[in-house]
Amino acid sequence: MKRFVLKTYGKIVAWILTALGLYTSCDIIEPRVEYGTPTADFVIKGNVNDADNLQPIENMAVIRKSSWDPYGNDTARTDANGNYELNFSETAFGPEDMVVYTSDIDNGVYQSDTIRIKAHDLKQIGKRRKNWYNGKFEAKADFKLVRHPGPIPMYGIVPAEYKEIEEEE
Amino acid sequence: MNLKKKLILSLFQQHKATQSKLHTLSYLFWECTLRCNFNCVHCGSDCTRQSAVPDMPKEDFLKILADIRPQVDPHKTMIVLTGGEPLVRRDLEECGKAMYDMGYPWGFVTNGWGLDEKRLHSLLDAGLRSVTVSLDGYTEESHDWFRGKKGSWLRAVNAISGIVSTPGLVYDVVTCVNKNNIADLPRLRDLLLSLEVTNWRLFTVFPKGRAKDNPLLRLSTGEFRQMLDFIRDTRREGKINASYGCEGYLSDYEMEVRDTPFFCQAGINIASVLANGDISACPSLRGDYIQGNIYRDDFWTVWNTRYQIMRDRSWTKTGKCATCKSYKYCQGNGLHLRDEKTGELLHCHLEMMGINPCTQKKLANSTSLTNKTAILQTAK
Repeated sequence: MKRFVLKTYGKIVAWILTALGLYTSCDIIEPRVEYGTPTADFVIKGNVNDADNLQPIENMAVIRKSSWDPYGNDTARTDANGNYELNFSETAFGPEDMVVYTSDIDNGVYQSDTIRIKAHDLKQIGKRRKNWYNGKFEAKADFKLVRHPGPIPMYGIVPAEYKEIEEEE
Repeated sequence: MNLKKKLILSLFQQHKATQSKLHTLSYLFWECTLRCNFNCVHCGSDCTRQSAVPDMPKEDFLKILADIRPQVDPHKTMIVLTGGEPLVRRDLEECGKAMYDMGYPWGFVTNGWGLDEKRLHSLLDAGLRSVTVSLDGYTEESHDWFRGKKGSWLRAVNAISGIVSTPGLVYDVVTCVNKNNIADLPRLRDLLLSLEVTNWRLFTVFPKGRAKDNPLLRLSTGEFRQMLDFIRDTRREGKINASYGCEGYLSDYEMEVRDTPFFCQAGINIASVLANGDISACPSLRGDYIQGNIYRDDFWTVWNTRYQIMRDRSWTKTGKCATCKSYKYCQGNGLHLRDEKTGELLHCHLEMMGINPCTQKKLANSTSLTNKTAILQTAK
């Protein structure tokens, strides 16, 4: 929370400085000569697999958590091969840290997982323009999900999967 | 409690309500024997070496599994053999193999006495998928006292070593925390770490069976909190996945000492067939909680048409639960903690933590409860 507040405060200060026509030391902020909103496009791709058997998980929700959460969150679903692609635009001066997470909101079989993509891991795939558009950025985030253990009864055991017994030769 | 936790707990109630309506059978206990080679001081089953109830013939239980097979996904229905001590059954491997041939994964709960390398391998050949072993003390003295059998600590440790070194076998170690072993929990954790154990479940006794009248078993408020703090800190360390057992709503400790919020799944996802054929939920639910008997009723019909007492918990809002501010999250605590006849709550975890359920404030006498423990320990 403290980090979020600080980052937001930093952005506001940068905005004010830029609006005032001042150059800041941050390399993603350039002097602006017009009034507008800096934006960038982002693509986050990846796949979602079962950590145990590495099989793809279909129809899993992958959510990009906006810095203005819950506003601006974006959700994609995995296809039959477990692949997903999130496309969204953001008010941004350039690459920023991104947070994506998966949540088994339909069945509750898998535990949620979160991946934080660092700004320097985003690859620029679209050029910046002279106006307020800062370009297009891409990153990859693969999830390996662990099944939810669920409460184990007091006298119970940890649930296990059925597996074929290998016959000895 | 912070807002985020409250939000999660509130949403989790929706999940519980949905699960109650769905009541998917995912966990079936079979009390395969009441015989036991131990004499544990806390035992809830009151089992003996020569039980008055003979072992159920395996065919009777296997028939139920065959009958329900078209109704359930056997691969997702865990069969749990409990007792007594399941290993005293000589036909355990035959039972396991038959269950596995039908597609059910199975496991059992054991004291570890009879689980040497040879037996473990023969059980693995019969499709064993999961084991839980009890270890109740860092020292031989405290474990052997608790289990009522000399040499049991060493056997349990050996069994745990064998299990840990078996690839693909799911397991955990369980510890019943009592006045005798609570001070040793950090050392017990280190022992388990040295054995490379990754899953450790701790639980406390509830006032039933032999534990009912034994003052050495029930923790004081201070000790109970001490145990919860220990589990929480151990989880944060991340070296071993420690957790508190499934019973009891734990207020601020929710999701700090367990992976998921409190959810008594008895009769919702869990059923049991007891040694005499009675159909229940968790094996600790007996008496008035019995829903039928396999020698009289069709198991699947019972599962689908009865169990209302467990799927609609509104009747539990009586006594101290009636005015409890946490009722919406707790819903009457674990059913095994309620009197079978009157339905009154015998054991409230909020009270165990020194919290007044009505006001959610600290009980005035919670400190004196701690002192009482200190006196007991001095007297020993």
